[in-house]
Amino acid sequence: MNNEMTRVFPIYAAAFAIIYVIVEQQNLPLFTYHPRQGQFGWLRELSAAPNAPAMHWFGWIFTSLIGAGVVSLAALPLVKGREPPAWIGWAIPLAVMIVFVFLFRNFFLPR
Amino acid sequence: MITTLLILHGLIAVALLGGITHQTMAACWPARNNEGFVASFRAVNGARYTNANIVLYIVSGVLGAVIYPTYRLMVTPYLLNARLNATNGGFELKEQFVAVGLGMLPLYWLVWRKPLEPKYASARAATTAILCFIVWYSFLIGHILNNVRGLR
Repeated sequence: MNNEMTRVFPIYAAAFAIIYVIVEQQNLPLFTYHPRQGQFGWLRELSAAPNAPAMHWFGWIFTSLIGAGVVSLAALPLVKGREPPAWIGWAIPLAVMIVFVFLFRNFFLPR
Repeated sequence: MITTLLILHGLIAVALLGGITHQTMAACWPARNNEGFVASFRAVNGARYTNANIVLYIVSGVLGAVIYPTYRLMVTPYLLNARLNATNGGFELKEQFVAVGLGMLPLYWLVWRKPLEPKYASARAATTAILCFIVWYSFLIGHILNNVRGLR
């Protein structure tokens, strides 16, 4: 693979993690899946009934894949001259994982 | 059918566990010789595992995604009714961790690309260790959930 392209991989990993946590918190899926009906719908759709949940996780992933791809393409000219530090590609996703633990803390705290 | 997919998902996860754990040990705690069980476990050529681990991660994720709708319909309501909040939250965290790991795969491939570049040594160890944690966490949570309430 082209070296110029691979230089953005740390940026891609960091951008994906940041975009994903925002997309998950704001609920911005590219599409919604309704497992009871077996149907897809564009963007965010609500549950059709209490026993028919709407699934957004697949859509969050695709929103993040596209978003990180756009950020990486935009960063390509910037990385031609110098390589971005590789640590951003693991430190930021690690930080996002810790943020998720904090955001989901109520599942684990006694009520 | 769903049970078959779940078993396949589990078997692929076991293969991934083995590969990523070997590679993490090789990156974070390299062995000087291969004498003894622990040293042999660490003394593998980590780079050889990269492509297989990427394929296994993606295949395992796709299989998990295929099973996931059945889980949402059959297991999640049970967990909510039984007020098994920690178990439910464990799975909610798993899906976020797996997604974050997916975004790290291109970097993981880069840092393990041959010839191994010394400048990526710390990133190689950190990226592999994080993915290893995600895989272990996901495996254990999946196993616990299957014990609490299997897909049927």
